[in-house]
Amino acid sequence: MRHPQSAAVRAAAIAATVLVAACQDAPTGLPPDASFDRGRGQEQMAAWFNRATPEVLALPGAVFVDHDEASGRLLVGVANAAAIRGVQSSMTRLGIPGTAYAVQVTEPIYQLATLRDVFRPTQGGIQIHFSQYVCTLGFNVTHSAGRSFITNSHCTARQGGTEGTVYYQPASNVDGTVIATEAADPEYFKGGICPRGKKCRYSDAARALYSSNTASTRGAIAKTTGANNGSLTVSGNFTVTGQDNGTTNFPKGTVVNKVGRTTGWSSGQVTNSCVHTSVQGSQVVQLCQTFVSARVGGGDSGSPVFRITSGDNVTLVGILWGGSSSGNSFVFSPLKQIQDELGAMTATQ
Amino acid sequence: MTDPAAALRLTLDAPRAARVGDRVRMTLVVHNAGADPLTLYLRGRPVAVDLSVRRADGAPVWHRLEHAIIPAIVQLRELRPGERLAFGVTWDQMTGVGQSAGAGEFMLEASLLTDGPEPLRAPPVSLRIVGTT
Repeated sequence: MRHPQSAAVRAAAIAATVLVAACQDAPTGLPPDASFDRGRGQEQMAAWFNRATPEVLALPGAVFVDHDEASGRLLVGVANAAAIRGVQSSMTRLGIPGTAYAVQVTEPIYQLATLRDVFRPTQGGIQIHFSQYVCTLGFNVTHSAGRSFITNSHCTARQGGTEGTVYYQPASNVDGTVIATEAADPEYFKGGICPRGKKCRYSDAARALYSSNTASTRGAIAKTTGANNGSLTVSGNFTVTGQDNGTTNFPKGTVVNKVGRTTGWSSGQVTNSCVHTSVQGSQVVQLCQTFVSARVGGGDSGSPVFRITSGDNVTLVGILWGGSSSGNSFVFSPLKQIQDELGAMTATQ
Repeated sequence: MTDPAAALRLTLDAPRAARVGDRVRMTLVVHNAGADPLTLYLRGRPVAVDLSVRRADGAPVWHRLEHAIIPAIVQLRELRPGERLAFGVTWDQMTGVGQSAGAGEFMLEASLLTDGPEPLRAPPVSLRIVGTT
């Protein structure tokens, strides 16, 4: 149970933690200033700190300003040596003597984003929201009908049929911009191979056309800190360098991965291939689906499924849509079947 | 800060007894007993309601979602203070291997899947099935 804004609240807390740490005066390597008069010096230093902070932090490359009580000086962190001169100029202009501060090159401080935060440009694996539901953006594509993303058919207003579902990222109460609109979601069919009383498709996939003002990166999938560790913190990207347009029957034991907004990056082996799969709570049968022994949770629907080829380069193989109640096994639709139903698309960078 | 989940009450309304072969109809009720609204993140479309049936000695009899493939979508349901949601669930007295469970004492436990690792569970309730097969 959480408020829908919990992702944004969590991100703010992480940023605050970093800033507090910078003010705790862990050893910095600065020697105490011998000329520092501790009597009225603290007052003077506090005044300089307040004067310097707004101007210095506005400079390109500035990372932090700290009133370092241990050394009796201000400590200014910059991202690179080229930024030092600008700090010195500002300090001089503000009347702060060179003996009252030190500048050091430091690691830039990044706000740690999670899969549930705002991403512009968008990429695969991040949270999307429509109506009262939450899913995962599968992957960005170029399609003959325009720049789009792929997610699940059941992540639309109605599974099967195109109703113009509008999507937000990560949620409408965080960013009210409509990022995309459902543009293709073929109807489920009856008869033929489809069991009596059921309706069928070969993929649980739909295409949403991007709004012109929403940036997207084709070929990028958010990468979290590690496989099967449950982390939602984004530490980089996978790059889609290939797409498997032909496989419907994945050999048992094939290792595939997914990134989704609930359980992050999961990796596991294919356990069953080309399985006609009845969907709990509905009349839907998904034909020729692939089962994988890896973590899944509610909200992972739409996750991109891929094989890692080398380093962070991956080959896209499909889209996750469901799994077991225990969360230990997920099911995906192969990319070939997605394209058979939605048309050819390019998902590589 | 108090845990908002503490305000959530789940109960399984079930008959105390049934005759052999009867369909046992139950209702899982979710109630916000707190003063603030809660947002539930419930998995499935429709929401996936699980039910496990065990004999009095703990031996498993039936598990509704044991072999089910459930869409990994999450539905956000806001529950205002005092509001209740009700989900119907039925057990036809069959075991997981398709046999009649027969007469005896059973424990029923219902739960709702969420986007977290643990479902929202209602306290177990007992059911006595009487009669002959």
